[in-house]
Amino acid sequence: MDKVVSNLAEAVAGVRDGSVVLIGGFGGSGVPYNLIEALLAQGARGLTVVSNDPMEWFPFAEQGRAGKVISGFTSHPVRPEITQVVEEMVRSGRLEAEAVPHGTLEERIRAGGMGIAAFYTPAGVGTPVERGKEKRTFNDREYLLETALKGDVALIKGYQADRFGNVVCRLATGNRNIVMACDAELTIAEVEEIVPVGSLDPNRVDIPGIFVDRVVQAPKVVRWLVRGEM
Amino acid sequence: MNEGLSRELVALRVARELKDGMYVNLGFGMPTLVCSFLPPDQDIILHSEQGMLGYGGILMDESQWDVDLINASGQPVNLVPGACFCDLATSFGMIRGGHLDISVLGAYQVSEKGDLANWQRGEQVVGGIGGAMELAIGARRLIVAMEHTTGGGEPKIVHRCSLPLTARGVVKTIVTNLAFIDVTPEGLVLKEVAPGITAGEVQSVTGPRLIISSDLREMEL
Repeated sequence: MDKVVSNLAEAVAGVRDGSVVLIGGFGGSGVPYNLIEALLAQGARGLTVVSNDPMEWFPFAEQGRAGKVISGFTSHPVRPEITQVVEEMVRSGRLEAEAVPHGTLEERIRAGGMGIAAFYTPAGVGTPVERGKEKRTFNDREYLLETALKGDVALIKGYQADRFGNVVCRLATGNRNIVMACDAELTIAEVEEIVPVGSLDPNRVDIPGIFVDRVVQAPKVVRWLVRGEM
Repeated sequence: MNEGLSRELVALRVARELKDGMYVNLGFGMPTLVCSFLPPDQDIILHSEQGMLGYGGILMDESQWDVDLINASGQPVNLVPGACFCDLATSFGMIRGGHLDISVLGAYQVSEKGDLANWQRGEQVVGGIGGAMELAIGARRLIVAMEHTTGGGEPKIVHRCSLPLTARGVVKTIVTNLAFIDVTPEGLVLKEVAPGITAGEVQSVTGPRLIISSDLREMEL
């Protein structure tokens, strides 16, 4: 078994037009920037991009490659000029943007990978998020029915991996990468280092290799969402 | 009327509500500043949405920054001894499942019934929910830290929110540059005023009628 591919183009080869693409990372941490660039270069169009931050989905929207984004943030938290561009794209019908409570987004992704069709959550009750959703009361509290969100492709970022696809994450970068690895037909991991099978501590593997289809080594990209001051 | 407290002093007043042994989430914007005012002799564990328990302060020295270690606002932070990580679905389980003692969020509007609006400005079709809907409903106590009025001087504490809601009936306490207010079944109770501010001045920039606490006091900062 060898899931390691030799370069980024090979890593994203075969991603089809119209795919649902899940992208990992949070707030600029653990974002698979190399795979994002590679998929933009690969050329797939009409994508639905699912991520938490606009830093991952906005390049696909801006380059006309995504027809829809599903995200905790359909605006940009700190760059109003990007929010303005997105607002215009949505109003003109060039982009569909679905804002989802972040915990609900991750649970929909987790459910998709774990074989759960749907679940009830209290998040969003009494807000615009409840529109069109079944509402049900359990133990005197209202909940919304949310359905699983399946990906065709997941782009994730790890620190180290072996050829079986076992991935270790560093510090707070496991975040969404750990959640979504299980949820796509094709899960592609970019990692900073590929290590020999047997060298990872079995108790410290963050993403079991069964969830990972391709592994590619790529240099870590550092981009800050904000600086220290705010 | 003077402008009341700086953002930092609002954060300081909020920090006084945090006690030894609590698990606390600090939201985007002004709430983030609270981490600079934690009492050093107490174990207050800060939770961050991406799956982190036990970060310390925001790092100003660029040589110490590590993009693998940020808070939920994207700022570089350090870890306290005893910190740990988890994945994001588990992290939101901590929030939604009622495991946090306190969540501190910013707000565009808060109603007299404790409704919260903080994710979308009325004129837009896009917005930033992020983790706010879970943080609003999941924590045992929700504190809002915000400016008392909009930039144009309009009240942000209102009878009924005109902006899209984040959650209904969730806010327990409001701390602003002018006042400390508890949301109770009887109404909004003004408990503290900022130094140099009168109860009448707070009322003049607040939508609903305030109940003046029998032990109304000036904030201790």
